[in-house]
Amino acid sequence: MRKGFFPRLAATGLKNNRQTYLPYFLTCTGTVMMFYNMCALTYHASTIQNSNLSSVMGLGMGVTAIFAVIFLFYTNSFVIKRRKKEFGLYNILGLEKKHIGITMFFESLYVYLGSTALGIGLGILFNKLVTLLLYRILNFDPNFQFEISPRAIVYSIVLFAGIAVANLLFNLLQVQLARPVQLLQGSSAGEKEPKANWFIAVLGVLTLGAGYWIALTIESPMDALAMFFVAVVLVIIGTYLLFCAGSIVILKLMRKNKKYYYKPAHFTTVSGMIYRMKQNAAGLASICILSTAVLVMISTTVSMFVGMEDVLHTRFPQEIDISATYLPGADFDREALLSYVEDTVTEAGRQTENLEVFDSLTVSTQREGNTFVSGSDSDVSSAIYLLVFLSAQDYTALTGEQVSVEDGEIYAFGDVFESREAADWESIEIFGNPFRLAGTGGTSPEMGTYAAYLAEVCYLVVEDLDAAVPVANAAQAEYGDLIDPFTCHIAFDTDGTEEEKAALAQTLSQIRNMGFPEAQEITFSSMELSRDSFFDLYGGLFFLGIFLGALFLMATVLIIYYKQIVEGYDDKERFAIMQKVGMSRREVKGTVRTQVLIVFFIPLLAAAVHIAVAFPILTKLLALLNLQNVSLFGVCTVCTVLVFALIYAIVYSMTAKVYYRIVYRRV
Amino acid sequence: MPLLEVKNLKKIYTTRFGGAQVQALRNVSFSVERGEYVAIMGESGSGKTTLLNIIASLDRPTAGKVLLAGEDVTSIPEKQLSVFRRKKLGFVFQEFNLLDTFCNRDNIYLPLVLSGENHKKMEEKLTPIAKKLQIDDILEKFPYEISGGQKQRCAVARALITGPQLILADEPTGALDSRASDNLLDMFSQINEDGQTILMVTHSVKAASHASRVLFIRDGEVFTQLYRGERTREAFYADIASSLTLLSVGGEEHA
Repeated sequence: MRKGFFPRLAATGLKNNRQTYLPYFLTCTGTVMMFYNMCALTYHASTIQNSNLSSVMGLGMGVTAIFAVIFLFYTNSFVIKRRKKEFGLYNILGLEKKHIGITMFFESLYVYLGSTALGIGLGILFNKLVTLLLYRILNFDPNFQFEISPRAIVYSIVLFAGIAVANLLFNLLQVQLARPVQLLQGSSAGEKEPKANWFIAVLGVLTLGAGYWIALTIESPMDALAMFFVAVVLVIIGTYLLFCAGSIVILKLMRKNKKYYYKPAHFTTVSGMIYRMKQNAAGLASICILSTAVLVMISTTVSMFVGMEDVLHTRFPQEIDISATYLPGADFDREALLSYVEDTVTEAGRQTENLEVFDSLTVSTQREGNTFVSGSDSDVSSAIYLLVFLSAQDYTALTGEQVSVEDGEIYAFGDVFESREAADWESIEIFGNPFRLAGTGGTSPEMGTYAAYLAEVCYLVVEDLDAAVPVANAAQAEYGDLIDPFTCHIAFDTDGTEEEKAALAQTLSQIRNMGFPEAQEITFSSMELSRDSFFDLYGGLFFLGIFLGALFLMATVLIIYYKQIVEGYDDKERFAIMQKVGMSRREVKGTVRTQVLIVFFIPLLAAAVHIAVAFPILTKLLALLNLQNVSLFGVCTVCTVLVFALIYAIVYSMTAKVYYRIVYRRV
Repeated sequence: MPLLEVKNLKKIYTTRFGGAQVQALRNVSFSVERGEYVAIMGESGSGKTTLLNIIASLDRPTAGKVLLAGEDVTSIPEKQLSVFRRKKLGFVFQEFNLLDTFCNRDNIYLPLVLSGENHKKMEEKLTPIAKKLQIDDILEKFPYEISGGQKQRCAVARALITGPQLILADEPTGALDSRASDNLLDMFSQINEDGQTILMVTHSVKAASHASRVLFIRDGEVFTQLYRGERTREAFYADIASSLTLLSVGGEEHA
């Protein structure tokens, strides 16, 4: 054959299949663009300097790459299904499969070169905007260096070349394996009515139910973290199974009910839906999962970002927190530490506010009745109790209240002591050390330092902290080095502007390197100094949520579009027949609309249910990240769902037009 | 009064870009009596299908009238057309036009369901028809599970179940092998004997030889017609064949 024949044949093939190829081309371009951007941001000079941000962006890049592989493979399978007929025709007209292969190679090459070049080009243009957005979110200096990232370009070229080759191999295999007659029938094959598979449907209900059960019943944030992915996987499996088998089972039950089924409004819809679900169940389930992912990502990251000040205040109840640890029984001089801090503050011209000074011993335990024991060998799921020992003197200093405790006694604060179970406790035992209960309830110290802990915190007031030394020794014997020794805390706010606060924090942070007698380790944390790294982390996650949300949304839109086209061609014939045997155009339109609406909005509805059920577990996960503002998260979630539904509806009305155009085209 | 009267039917198609005009039907007039079995023959492009589409109210004529039991089909408003088609006419197509999404029973019920019939009544109506057409054992199967002949019999059942005044068949044997064709034509004859009026468009001399009258169409006009009368089917077959030869070589009109 003449040189240049196949490249031209390939070009014609692409041109004649615009309706299928254009969206595919745009998908490739869009994905390349998104990947380039993610990649460029990850390797941007100012990102690399920042460890929080660069790990978040690295994560984003990985997700985008995995997504690109799956999604392009998925869309490619749509395209090849539609083209099989044409290849069959070529085959029958005398083109060998080898030649078809060459044609397909050129087609893939064109699409790859075109989409990658365009994608990178648009990516570079778009990059400026994206970087600006990211740095605006992060409060970075907007005079950043705009750069074209050679590394991102190379990575994009390589990744998408790999995907193109994999897709081409898949397509070649499809053509190679099929006989010409099969190729000709390619897109209309598989018309058999699906079987109602009760087993799979029940399995779907069970897996989804299990996922929901986990999400709804989990109590502690630690368990939520451990079980979240289990729940997610169960829900994904359950969604797929239910969409595939459950829908058919329900529809068949509807068909069995003759009174219901033989009504004009239900007759065509129910039977049509059975076929639709067979062809689209997986696609619809994917739409549902992607939508859920978009909703979860955006609502969580938005609420974290919006609630960042909350988080900061939860994490840092006071602007500056200094603690020094010392061994049980050591003669630590807390006045020396305190006077150093106060002098430094005064020297800087600042004043301390809300000063809290106390010594404590903190041990982590698990509970069996009124006995608190080591939690090292118990399972993770039972609750952890953090016991904080305070002296009566420090308690009074912190709260202004007085409690009377004598030697061998303990006055306890904490939910567990208010429970019915504890009503008749006269004493408690901690690591084998018995304490008489002097009393419970009253003004709890509620120290900020422990507010961010996920365990149940119990404050135990003893006459003198030395009374806790046996507990500390026993705990040390149990846990080895893990135990927090005795700690002296100094926490306070300061006056002044943010700059002044930051300057003071900077000066005070030197305390870490100073030696105090008997002090083991001195830690220093400041809200002002941490704010930037919080911004990097939460802002980065926020950006990532929006970015990936946009990416997944794009995927959802495209899956919907392809679905509509494929269905349009399938349904066209059916509706033509219905008109011939006496259905009016209006009735046909009504049926079409009902089916399209059901198919379209079921995934959205399911996604909304998923989100609603996931809400409790997500709340707990956010608590792990120090966001405890449930109502903020609730508002963010509802807003996200509403905005998403709006976008979804717009996409629906746009793609439905394409569908109707195909279906109603005069036969 | 004849059941169907076709008066001076004319149909002109204009090509898409408004260029040449194609006259599909020049001037067609004929009538069909109740209980008649009429076949319309003619070569491809002679206008048979156009004629059938107009009678079926699927297409509108440029001029002329179609009266079904005295009612002018061409002036029924668009909105009532599908109800009219559903209640008064039964269709049998060459390519069956059964829906793969329905089992055969539901395919046959389709027009009744659209008319809002009670499903018990539907069953009552279907039982005798299914028996006559020998499809009672394949009702629960799907169209893709049965043979072409069986499909066409289901399609006939769908046409009959509404008790239409006229059955319109467009090449009903066109997609069938000879045995299935014979079988189907026998059934058509049987249905006709039960009093059903049938109008069939066909290429096949054999199919036409089952009819009681054959109309020949050429270049958009009724060229000639043949009555079977008392002739045997074989003799009628021979006459139809010779008329067709005449039709194609372009002989003069004869009675």
